[in-house]
Order: sequence, then structure tokens, then C-alpha cells
Amino acid sequence: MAASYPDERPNQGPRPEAELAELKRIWATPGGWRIFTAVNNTVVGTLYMGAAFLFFVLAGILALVMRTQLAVGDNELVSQNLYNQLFTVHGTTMMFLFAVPAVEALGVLLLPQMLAARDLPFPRLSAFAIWAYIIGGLVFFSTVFYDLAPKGGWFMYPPLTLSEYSPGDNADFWLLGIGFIEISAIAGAIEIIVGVLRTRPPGMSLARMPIFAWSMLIFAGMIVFAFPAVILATMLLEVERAFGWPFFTASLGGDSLLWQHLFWFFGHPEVYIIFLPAAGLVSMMIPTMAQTPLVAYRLIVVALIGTGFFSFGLWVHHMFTTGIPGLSLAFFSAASMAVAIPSGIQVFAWIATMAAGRERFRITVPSLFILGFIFIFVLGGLTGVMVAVVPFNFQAHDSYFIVAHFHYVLVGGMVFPLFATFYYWAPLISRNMLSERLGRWAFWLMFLGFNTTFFPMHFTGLSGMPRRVWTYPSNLGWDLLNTISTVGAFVIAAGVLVFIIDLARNFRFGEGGPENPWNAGTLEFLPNDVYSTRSIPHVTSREPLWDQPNLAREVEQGLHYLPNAPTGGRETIVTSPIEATPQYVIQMPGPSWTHLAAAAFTAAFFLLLTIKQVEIALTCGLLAIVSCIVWSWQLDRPDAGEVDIGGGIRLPTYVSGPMSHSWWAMVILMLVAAALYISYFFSYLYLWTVSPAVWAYAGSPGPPALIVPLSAAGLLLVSAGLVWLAGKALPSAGQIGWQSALLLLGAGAALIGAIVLEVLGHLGTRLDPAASAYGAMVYMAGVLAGQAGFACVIMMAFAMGRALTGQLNAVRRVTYDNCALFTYYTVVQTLIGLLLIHGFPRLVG
Amino acid sequence: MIDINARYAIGTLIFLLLGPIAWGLHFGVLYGMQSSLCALEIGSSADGHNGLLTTLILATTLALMAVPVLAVWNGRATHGWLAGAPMASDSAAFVIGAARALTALSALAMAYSALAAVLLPACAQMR
Repeated sequence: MAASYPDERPNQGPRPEAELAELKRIWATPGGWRIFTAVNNTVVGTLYMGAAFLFFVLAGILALVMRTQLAVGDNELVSQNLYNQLFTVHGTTMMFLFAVPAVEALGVLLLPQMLAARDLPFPRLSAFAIWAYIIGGLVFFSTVFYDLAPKGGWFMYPPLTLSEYSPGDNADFWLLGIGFIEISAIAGAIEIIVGVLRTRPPGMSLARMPIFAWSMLIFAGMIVFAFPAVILATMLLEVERAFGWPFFTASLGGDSLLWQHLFWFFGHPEVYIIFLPAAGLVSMMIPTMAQTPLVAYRLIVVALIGTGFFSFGLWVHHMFTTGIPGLSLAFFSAASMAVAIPSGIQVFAWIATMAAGRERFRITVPSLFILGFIFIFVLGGLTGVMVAVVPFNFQAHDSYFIVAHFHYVLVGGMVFPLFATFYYWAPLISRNMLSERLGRWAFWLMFLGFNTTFFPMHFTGLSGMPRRVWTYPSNLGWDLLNTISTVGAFVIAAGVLVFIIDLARNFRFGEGGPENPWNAGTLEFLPNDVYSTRSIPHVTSREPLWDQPNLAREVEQGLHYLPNAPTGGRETIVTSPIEATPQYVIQMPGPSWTHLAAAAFTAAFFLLLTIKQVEIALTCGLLAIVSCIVWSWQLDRPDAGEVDIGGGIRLPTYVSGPMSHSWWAMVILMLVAAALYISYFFSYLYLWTVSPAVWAYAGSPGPPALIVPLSAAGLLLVSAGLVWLAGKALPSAGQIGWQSALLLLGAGAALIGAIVLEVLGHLGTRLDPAASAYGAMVYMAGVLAGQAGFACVIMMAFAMGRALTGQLNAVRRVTYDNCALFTYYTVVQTLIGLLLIHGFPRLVG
Repeated sequence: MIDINARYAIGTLIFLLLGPIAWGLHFGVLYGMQSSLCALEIGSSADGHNGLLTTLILATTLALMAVPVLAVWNGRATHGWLAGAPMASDSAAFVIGAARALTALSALAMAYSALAAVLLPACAQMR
């Protein structure tokens, strides 16, 4: 896949010295207290990773307390109540506050370097996501210290988590706290997708993209489609807990299995969401250690994509014992078998790469963690195939065999590659390498400790010990196996402690670390500074540093693209998504307090709602919106004209429409919203199949007369039409957009009118949302429409403000384009909702 | 609204993912058909067999396997139709090859699910 390299470099040297000084000034990390305003990917990425690692340690400490409790039978070290909180917070923290954030942190940290971009395209969005996660995560975790932590397990199954059985605020901390952190994960995913597709260096077509970039693209795509399902689930459960809308109450037509469907539609892909990036990291490190290109690059891409898709067909794999008909189970069992094939492709490709090495596979600390990963993950994969077999699953379900299986998959599949990553990529952000000697100690302690802990659990489970129990009778023969597991857990902790000592002794944040210490072939090992690489290389192969031996020096001398800052601010090259052809130079925002304020107030909004401080929460919500508006007001900078990036290429500094990176981000946001709505659609139809008796017309008032939905639909179409006309009426540069502003005002009014009319129509029929699952589902459609409509109104108001201050015109129109896209989407979604709510009961009634 | 650049990018990505998209549709349609026909007791016999459902599943499988297989068989033409422009030469081999491999993998996964429908009674609880 290597192309011939042009003889001429894009720029000629030597470059003026002032260029480098200007780059350093523009990209400088703020000092003192202003460090909190930083948006550079290396700073926020390191912070992100540090926070994720902190949560890993904290959740690990909870695991040690649990293992101590379980070391012997009839133990009463901790109470049942506390144990339930410990295992819920352990699982929740490991999944939501460690694994996904750690992977996103690696994306923020490594992707710009691997793609030789100066930064990802929405640096403040990354920083917002990180701060929201840190604030929300710390508050969530702290609940375990004052008996406020949730107790329903990381999966929070109703009916246990309904207010009848889980009174108090404990469950609400999970629902609102974690729901909010999921929003932060989605923000990060949007950043990663647009970053991978649009900020690759010239020449880095899809066929030359580093495997980690592929895996992060698929990871982020999976978040876009998986997370909305659990967001909807948490919304439904929180609404039921707060207002009594019975989505999950069987006596009123709800079904607790709906939660399991929605949760596991997220929860099973979540396993691969965690694993695929780790596999991507392994695919980057093995070729370096073998000093040879990755064997079967294309098949590995195929395997990553295949795994990403198939993982969405496995969710009932977690529900085999819930009474679902046999053939349904077989569909999910078949998908579980199918997903093993792409996983196998990757494992064989890694082994083949090691065998095909130009020299003997180097046994370094990263290599050890990779070999440990392969051993543990393959074992976890094999037991995964076992539990995908329905009859075996019936036997092993809810036993310690499952605990062993998923720890082999998750710790093997994610934690070991992560530690390999720490050792391999530390030189990118640290002045020193981590210690080989301490690293080997850390590996062996963790590897032996892990297998000592979890391998016996297969037998503990097969001999009948159920999971999630706080203690067990000591006469059942489980004591010895449990004691061994507990000893192993402390050995793992010792390994992690050695790693922390290594960090304390050797990790020193900053530039100036050893240059390409492993002799890697990919771009992140180019000479780096605060501005990433001095110039952006023209890429002609998958391992440019191996194929172009002088590339590092040429890049450092500024002989490649964009060696300077032609607009005088932060910028990078945006390229086309498939072929990576240069398209324009993006002007990026710098440090700011706005995203930090937005994150803090958003976290406060959700967390204060949890403890029922509604007035203060709403005030914080308002302040969060104001912060976002101030933040956004500083974006969409005016056109700075065409700039020369070298090689005779002149690029615009302002584009709109599908060429613009913001258009892509908005389209992805629409996909998130659509995924959430599809989950709602599924939920509506699912509850109907479960309890048709409560549906209109049999058990509930029928929908209002057709004139109501038809009028609402008419208002929606008027709204979309007015938005379209507002676009046509955008003024020329320098003029005030009165007409557009008025049209947007009308569009907002029509949109709100449509939603209010729809809700009033149902109130007029005396349909009570608390009386049946049908009523709850009908009003939930209004809630979702209102939510999307509210976002549209905020965007319209923002666009009106821009138009009235002369910052929105026929050329500088990104603000309008985003608003129009989301309004059109909302209109279509609401029209489909009207069809469902008013059409379906008439069809079946 | 979509210009040639966006169409090329989105068309290429859809072309690459034709097989998995067909698998996703297949999976959703099979699960949806089986759940609703069995819940509504359409075509079910007392022993849990449902000939109508089995026939529908097999027909759906053949149709959804055939579409991506035929599409990637003539990869350049399909891509050109979806993307509105021919693929650059150094990307063509990669994208078409990956699309074919993904289609093969997806067809195998579809076959697994269809096999279950042939072997098992469609609406029986089976325990």
C-alpha cells in the first residue's frame, strides 16, 4: 500500500526561526490556575488518563474489600448492605469511570499524534467531556462513603431498583450520575469520529490509517449507537421512580425485561467498545516489537468492523434464562458464535506478525503485557463461546463461572493492553521512559495474581457458588477456592502498586522524552512539542517512519505542510474522509473557562436533581446553557482568506455545508438522537407485545381526534419551512439578518406549538401517564419531542443572536447550517412519533 | 444538501459496510418477525412449529445475502453508483477487498441464524 514519495518536499528550508517561536506561543499550555482552561490534547488527555487510572485504583480497592469479605465463609467483615454498595460501585466504576474513559483518553492523547494533527477538531468539547466526567465521577464514587451508593449492581435491574424496593436516593445517583457521564462519553465519541475522518495528514487514505485509528473510529461509532439505548433506559427508570410512570411495573402493563433489553443492547457492545481499542493498541505495538509490518492489515480492519457490528446481536446472550422462546435464543447464540471469528482473525494475525518478524520478537515490558493479554483473552474468549451455548448458559448463569469469564475478557482484553500502552507510549508525554525492571515486576505480579484470583472462580462457579452474594456458608466446599482468589487479588494489587511506584519514580510530564525509543514506524513517534509536529507530513505508506528514514528530520525542519501558523491562531489541516486530500485549514479555539464552567454546572444540574434540590439544579442547568452559549459564541470565526500550506497548495480557512467538520459532527449527533428514538420505538412496540390489554382502545382512552396530530404535523412542517426560508434570507457579509432572525423566531414558535398541541391533545382524552405503560409511553414521546425541540429552540435563539449582531450571513453560515440540520431532524423524528402514537392504536385497536 | 465530497465519503463508507448492514437488517427482521408472529400466534401450530415463519426467515435470508454479495461482486460499479465517482486507484483494492471479506463474514453469520430457524421449532418455549 506504499505509494512513491514525491522528490520535492512541500516546503523549502531553512524555515524562518520566528515560525517556531510563534507556534510555541500559540500552543503554549496555560500556567498556574489557568492550567484548568487548557485544551491541548496532551494536557487534557493526560488528565483524562490520570483520572481514569485513579478510578481504576479506587474500584480496585473496593474489590480488595470484597475479596477480603469473601475469603472465608460466614464472614461478617462488611455488612450485606455495604457489600451490595461495594459491588455496585466497583462494577459501575470499572465500566463507566475507568474502562470507557481510559480508552477515550487514549484517543484524545494519541490520535492527534498518530495523525500528525495539531489537535482534534473540537478541543473544547474534549475538555468539556473530561471535566464533566471527572466532576460527576468523583461525586458518584464518593457516595460509597456515606451510605448513598446504589445497591442494584452495575446493571441496575428493575424491579429491584424501583422506588418500592430501592427507596432513597441511592439508585438515583446511578441513574442521573451515570446517565450524565454517558453524555460525556458521546461527546468524546463525536470528537473522535470527526477527528479520525477529517484530521488525517495528506495522503493517509483509509488504506494507510493506523489500526488504532480504525479501532477508535469503530469504538466511537459503537458508542453512538449503543449508549443511547442505556440513556433511554435510565430516563425511563428515573421517570418511573420520580413520577410513577410504570414502564417497568408488570401490574400496569410495564415489563422489567424491557430494562434488560435496553441495558444489554448497550451492555454487550460495551464489552467490545472496551476491547476493540485495546486490540488496536496491540496491533500497533506488536509490529514494532517484531520490527515488521502487521500481517493481514486488511483482515484486521475487517475483523474490527465485523466485531463492531456483530456485537450488537449478542445482547440476549445475557438474558438466556429469562423465558425468551428457544429460537430467539438461538439467533443470539448464533451471533455469539459469529463474533468469535473476527476475534480469532486478530489473534492469529498477531501471532503471525510475531512469527514473521525481521528479528526475534523483542521481549520488553509492553511485549510481556501483550503476551499476557493474548493468553488471558483467549481463555476468556473460549469460556465466552461456552456461555454462548444456551444449555451450558442455563447451568452457569449467575454463578462465579460468569465472574471468571468476564474478568478474563475484560481484564485480559483491556487492562493488560492498557499497561502495555503505558510503558510503550509514555515517552510521548514523559521526559523519562518507565523502568523495564519495575515493569517486569509489575507484569509478573499482575499476571500471576490475575490467574490466581480468577482461574479458581471457574470451579467455584461450577460447584454452585452464586455471584453477588455477600457471604456464604462455610460448609459448602467453597472456602479454599475463595481464599486462593483473595490471595491472588492482593498479588494483583501489589503489581499495580509497583507500577505506581514506577510512575512516581520515572514519569515526568513534559516534552523532551527519548525520540522513537522502540523504532516504531508510525507518526506519533515523530519529534513532538506543544504544537504536535512542527509540520504535517505527506504520508505514502502505513509505516512512514520505516519507509521514509529522513521523515522525522524533514518534519522537524518544517519541510512538510503547514510549518507555521498562517492565520495567527491554532489551526490544523482538514482532509477528505476517504483519500485524505487537503480541503481547508480549520481555525481552532484555545484555552477557555467556558467549557469548564459548562461541565461544572452540567454536573451540578444532574447531581442536585438526584438529591431533589430542584430549584438549585435548574439554576445550574441554566448557567450550564449560558456557559455553552458563551463558549459557542467564540467559535465560527470569520474567514481569514486562503493560506499557503506548502507544495503549491492554497486552502480556504472557512467552509460550510458537508465540507465542514461541524456538519459531520452534527450528522453524528443526529445519529445519536436517532438511535435513542429507535430505542424508544422498540420499547413502545415491545411493551405492546407484552401487554396489549392496556393499550388503546382496549384498556386506555383512545388517541385524540385526527385533527390534533394533523395540526401538529402541519405546524412541524411550517417550522421546517420557515427554517429553510431563513437560510434563503441570510444577508450578505456585514449586514444584519433581521429577516432570518424573524423567520427563525416563527420556526421556533411553530415547533413549540406542535409539541404543546400534541401533549394537550392527550391530556384532553384524560390519558394518565401513571395509570398504564401505554399512557407512560405516549407521554414519553412528548418528552422526547420536547427535549429535541428545546435543543432546537436554543440553537435557533443562538442563530438569531448571531444574525442580529452581523455574525451570520450567506457565507459565514455554519451556525445556521447546524441549527437547520437539527431542526429538520427533529421535525422528521416528531412526525414519525405522531405516526406511531396516533397510527398504531388505530391499526391494532 | 450533500455535495460530491460528502456523497463520495458517505457512499464509500456505506459500500464498505454493505455486508454488515445487511446482517444487521437480517438480524433485526428475523428477531422482530419471530417475536411478533409468535406473540400474535400467526401461523403457529400447537407443537410450536410455524411453517410460515420458517419460510419467511429463509426467504429473508436469501434476499439479504444476495444483495451485498451481488453488490460487492461488481464492486467498482456499485461503489461508483453509491459514491458518485470512481475510487482512487490506491484505495480501490483495499476498500473492495475489505467489503468482500465483510460480506463473506456477514453471510456466514446470516447462515448461522437461518440454520437455527431450520433446526428449531419457531415458537416453542423449549424448556
